[in-house]
Amino acid sequence: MELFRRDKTHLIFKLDSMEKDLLVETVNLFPVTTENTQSVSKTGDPDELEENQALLDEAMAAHKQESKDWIKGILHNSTRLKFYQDAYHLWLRVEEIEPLLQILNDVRVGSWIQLGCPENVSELNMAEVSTDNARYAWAMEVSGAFEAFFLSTLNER
Amino acid sequence: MPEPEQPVTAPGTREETDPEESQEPGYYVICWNDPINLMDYVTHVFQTVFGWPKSKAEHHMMQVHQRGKSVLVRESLERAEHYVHQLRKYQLHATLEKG
Repeated sequence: MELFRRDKTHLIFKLDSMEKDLLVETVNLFPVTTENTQSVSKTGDPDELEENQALLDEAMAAHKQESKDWIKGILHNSTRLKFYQDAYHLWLRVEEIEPLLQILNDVRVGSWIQLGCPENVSELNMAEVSTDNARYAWAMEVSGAFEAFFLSTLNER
Repeated sequence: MPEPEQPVTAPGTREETDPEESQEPGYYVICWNDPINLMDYVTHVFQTVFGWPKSKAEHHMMQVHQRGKSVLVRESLERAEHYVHQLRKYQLHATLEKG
């Protein structure tokens, strides 16, 4: 996978077939996180918090639906993800890196939660991985690798 | 490669109006450590959400990493809520606490 072309407003990434399949498979898992996993405050008034928490959960649910529709639109738009000459080309506006990172990190964090929030993510305890949650171990690693790649392209600016 | 004919609007890119600035800046936005978010990712999110230079974003990222949390900003309730919402969109563990 490589950054093939960039200008002030657009980015084009080149992916081979396996990388394209991995990216599609990973973002298809989105959303993995569920609401109410984190309180909006650790110290606030419970009544006030309840209202704020409800607003936050509602906003997050709407944002996730918006993101899901967006990524679906990208992956099914033949001018956004297209096989061209020798590889797949993923065409993004510069600002679209942000929702893509959010989606990938939702998959990463959500998968980590599904695995029981292990403290040591670099060396997973295999006793914690079962046939039921193995796909989350995979998704946590792959989404993290894609995140690192896209972040490195931003740092090349 | 030809440019796409149909635009796909990215989520969260609509313009947002600034809330009233008249409220007291009595709320802290705090980011808490976790073992899953990549350090470069956290730095990037702080730069994007707060518009900070990389050095400042890295400083707060390291505070989160080493001390378990970092106080990011002190703002009015509305602004603090806005920032917590933005950080949560990136799946960072952020809370607002009354000062």
